[in-house]
Amino acid sequence: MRGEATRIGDGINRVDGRAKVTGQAKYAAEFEAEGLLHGWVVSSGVAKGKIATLDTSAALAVEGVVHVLTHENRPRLAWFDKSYRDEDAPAGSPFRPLYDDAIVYSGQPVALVVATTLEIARHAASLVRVTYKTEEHETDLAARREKARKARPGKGGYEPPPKPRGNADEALAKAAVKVDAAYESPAEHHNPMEMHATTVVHEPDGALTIYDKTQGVTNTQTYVSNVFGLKPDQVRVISPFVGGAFGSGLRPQYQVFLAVMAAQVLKRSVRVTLTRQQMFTFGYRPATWQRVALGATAEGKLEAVVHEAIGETSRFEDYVEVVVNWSGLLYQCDNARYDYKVAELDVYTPLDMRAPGAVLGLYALESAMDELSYALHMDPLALRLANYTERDQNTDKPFSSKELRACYAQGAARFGWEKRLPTPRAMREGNKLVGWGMATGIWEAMQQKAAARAVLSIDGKLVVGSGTSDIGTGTYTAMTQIAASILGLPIADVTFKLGDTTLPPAPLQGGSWTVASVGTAVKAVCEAVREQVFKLAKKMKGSPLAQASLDEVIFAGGEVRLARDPAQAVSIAAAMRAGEAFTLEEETSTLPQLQEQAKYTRATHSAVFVEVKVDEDLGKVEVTRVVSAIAGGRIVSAKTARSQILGAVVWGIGMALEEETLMDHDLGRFMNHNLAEYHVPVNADVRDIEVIFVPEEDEVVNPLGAKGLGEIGIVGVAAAIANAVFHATGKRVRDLPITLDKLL
Amino acid sequence: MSVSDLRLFEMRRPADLPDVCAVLAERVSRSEPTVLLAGGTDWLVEQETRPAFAKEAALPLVLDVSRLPALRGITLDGDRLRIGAAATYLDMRRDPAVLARAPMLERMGRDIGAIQIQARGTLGGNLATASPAADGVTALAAYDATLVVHSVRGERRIPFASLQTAYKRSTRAADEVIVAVEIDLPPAGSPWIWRKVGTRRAQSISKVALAGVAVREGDRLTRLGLGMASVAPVTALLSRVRTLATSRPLRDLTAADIDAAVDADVSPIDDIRSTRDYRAHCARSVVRAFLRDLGAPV
Repeated sequence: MRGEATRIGDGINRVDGRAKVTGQAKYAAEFEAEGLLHGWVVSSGVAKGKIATLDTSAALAVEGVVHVLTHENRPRLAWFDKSYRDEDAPAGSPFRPLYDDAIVYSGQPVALVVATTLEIARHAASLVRVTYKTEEHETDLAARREKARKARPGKGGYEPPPKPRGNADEALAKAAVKVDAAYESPAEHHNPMEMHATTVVHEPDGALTIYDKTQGVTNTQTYVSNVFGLKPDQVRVISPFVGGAFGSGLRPQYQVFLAVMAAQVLKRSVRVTLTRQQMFTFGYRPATWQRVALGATAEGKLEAVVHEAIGETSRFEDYVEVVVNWSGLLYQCDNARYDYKVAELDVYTPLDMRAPGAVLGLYALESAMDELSYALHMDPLALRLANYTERDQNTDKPFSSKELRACYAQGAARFGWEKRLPTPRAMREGNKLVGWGMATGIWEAMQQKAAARAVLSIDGKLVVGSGTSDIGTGTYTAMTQIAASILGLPIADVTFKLGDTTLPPAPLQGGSWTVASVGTAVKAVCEAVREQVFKLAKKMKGSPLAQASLDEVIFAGGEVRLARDPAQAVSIAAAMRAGEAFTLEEETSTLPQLQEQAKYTRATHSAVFVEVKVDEDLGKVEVTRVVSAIAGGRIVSAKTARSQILGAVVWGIGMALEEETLMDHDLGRFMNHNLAEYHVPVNADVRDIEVIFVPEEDEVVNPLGAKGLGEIGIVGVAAAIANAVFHATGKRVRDLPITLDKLL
Repeated sequence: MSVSDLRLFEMRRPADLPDVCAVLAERVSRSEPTVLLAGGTDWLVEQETRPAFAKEAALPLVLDVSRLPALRGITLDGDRLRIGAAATYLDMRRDPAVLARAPMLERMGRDIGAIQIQARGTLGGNLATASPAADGVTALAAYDATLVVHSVRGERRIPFASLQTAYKRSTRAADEVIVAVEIDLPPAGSPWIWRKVGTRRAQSISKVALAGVAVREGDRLTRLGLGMASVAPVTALLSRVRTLATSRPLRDLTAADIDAAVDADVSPIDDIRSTRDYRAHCARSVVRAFLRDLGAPV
């Protein structure tokens, strides 16, 4: 694997790919400790009420059972809500496992059985007898919509809806052409392949080493320290690999709490792993109701945008996400009004899931735009172009960059959009109806504070580290690539470390900001090392670079070379030897250029084009072709970037056609809590997906010019599919997923 | 409520069929719970969801029948195909006789779960569980297969039409072991259909599945076998449709008559996998499509 350095933008294989496919990559539940105990969670069988009796005697009688933790015997814990609030907590009182006898949702943990083996813990858990004094619960959003109220802000990154501009309702009433419809979407669960798990190693000195499935080791560290009254330096959190998370690992989940509590009580190492069913007992994408009303002139100029949304939340926290704000940002319109409310239900608090808010808001908005295009007898793409905006009207700021027009043009060209027949049901292939639909996508381009450390050894090996995570996104690969490119090293000579609180801190991996934030820190720290190397190379006796400045040299092949005459070069090893530096070390923290960034709205954009074929007899929909054109700034790692978009499009197919967590409202409990009945697309559902990255330069977003790709790929996909289904069948389905029965 | 309780089971691998029958007869006479385990694809899932055993209840004895020679193998004798109860779906998919003479079984086998499930799951298990959503049972219904069962009393043959009595109930006695199924095959090249409708294109439990085999002579069907999954408490045999479609020339069949017969033959319900209305519509639609393919003007 030795050779020339890769450059930023190249498509390389995942640097951790071999470790993953050979089983060498270790996940939270795979770390061992001496005398490790295993915890098994007992879950509540009712949705609301109080625990009447909790009999653990049969469980305790099983040989090998060490302890059964319940609200009755738990240790003292932090008193105030603020101790339980993690970085991603919304406003309210965070859930406290095993705190008291109150049952606030079905599946709530009510006991943790700790035993010497997983099998014993599991068996003993089946012997714990719990009876409840049940109270009436409410879990149906449709029935509670009238009681929805204004959401309390407080969640990091949440922006309440902007104030209205103009008079949207009046403009709507007067508009020549209008559409006004409600759109519904169900609860969805993240369902990463790896179940949530935590292995807590109780060190001899009482410190804890915690292997956790998390999107942010610092978040877990802070949470555990606060809740259990430990000093942060007694809590080391490690998470080298995460088997998918999609937002489910943003907040510390109850398994980490229970594992730490058991370890603290027993002074032993403890592991707690959730079952697939228990993966349905915490956060999820909230069931959401939306209304979008659009008014336009007969020529298709938008005159009014009204976007209202109601999302479900728990009784104890106000989960909020940006659902409606996008509607006044994406298109030119002088009259806009937004409303966003939450309805409290007897459920657990929802949780960010890939492109939280946007994926729902854009489903409704882009469906409504499609409906408007038919009302206007206008091509759906032409309607978007007629209302294209170069400014964010919500904030009255320009975009730092916006190559959405190029997304439309290149996506449409690749898809062959101009051959589309405008009338629904006009395109056929054999006994199948063919439909073409499109939609726009948008997501914020954010940057957070982040830090990184780099150590270059005299043997030419570079180790860079930052406490970020890689939830399958390709962080290891992208960061390795950035570091290698700056120091001109082969990929094989660069190691990137992450997922450890002993590394310089990084933000939670969310919001699509990891490359922008951590990548910027990695770039900066490697540039600092580069400067040190250059100084040593310059100082060497007889150095051919003695007169050169840093911008006159290139780093390549383990050498510092004069750009205008690459034969004039000093090897990095020689320079370090001469300077008697066996290692060069730098640590850097980078902040976003807030003042400059504040002048602009920063966003990624996409245009998604979809072909569906519908069996009219049975309502079966096949998504036969997807073209996703993305404007995401500079692409750092082409192959993992493409994979991000591919995966997101597949999820969009699932969202449009298959995914929903079905609640039995009589029981207040999710019914299809397994991967057999919670349907995600299988291979056979996925056909041609083409990804286009539109060139986009942006010096405002961050020094790398990368905008982030984690969320944008899914935004708009469900709308494009729903629009294609309408084009094929003439049937507009306004509640997801579009299952076969809805198309009859 | 978990697989961990398996550690409390006694498990045995009987030497041969008489041994299985003897153990089963003895335990059944004493009302002791006994499980015949082949692929385990249904039974293991059930263990995750059933309540824990009460302390006083006797522990089940699990008899592993998956390797019994008497239950394995697929043989073709003239026009009679015999499939051992412990033959897996993958065995069927790869068997030359099945491929040549019963292609519908091969096609159905592809739709069973994932390849790993196809490598473990067996037709015998599918019949023992007798779920109305079972794809394998649906295919056997269309072939009007005969169940061969053994007990200490000897061999008994159960025609498919008299097998299922109610939801997951059958006329097989508790001490009878399913040994094989036998199918009297239609001539090679006869028309058939396997049509499974689910939420996604693989690995989903049927909203509706139709299995059909037919023999056509001129404008008449001289044999029509149908089975339909997930539209009634038991596998639907669509007897009215069979009678209708074989009672007159294909050209005299009308969509209205077919639809009425289907409606009378099925009694679908709403559940988490689909709706009653969709299933009823789908049932009519796939039956009409098959008869259309056979030559009916519908």
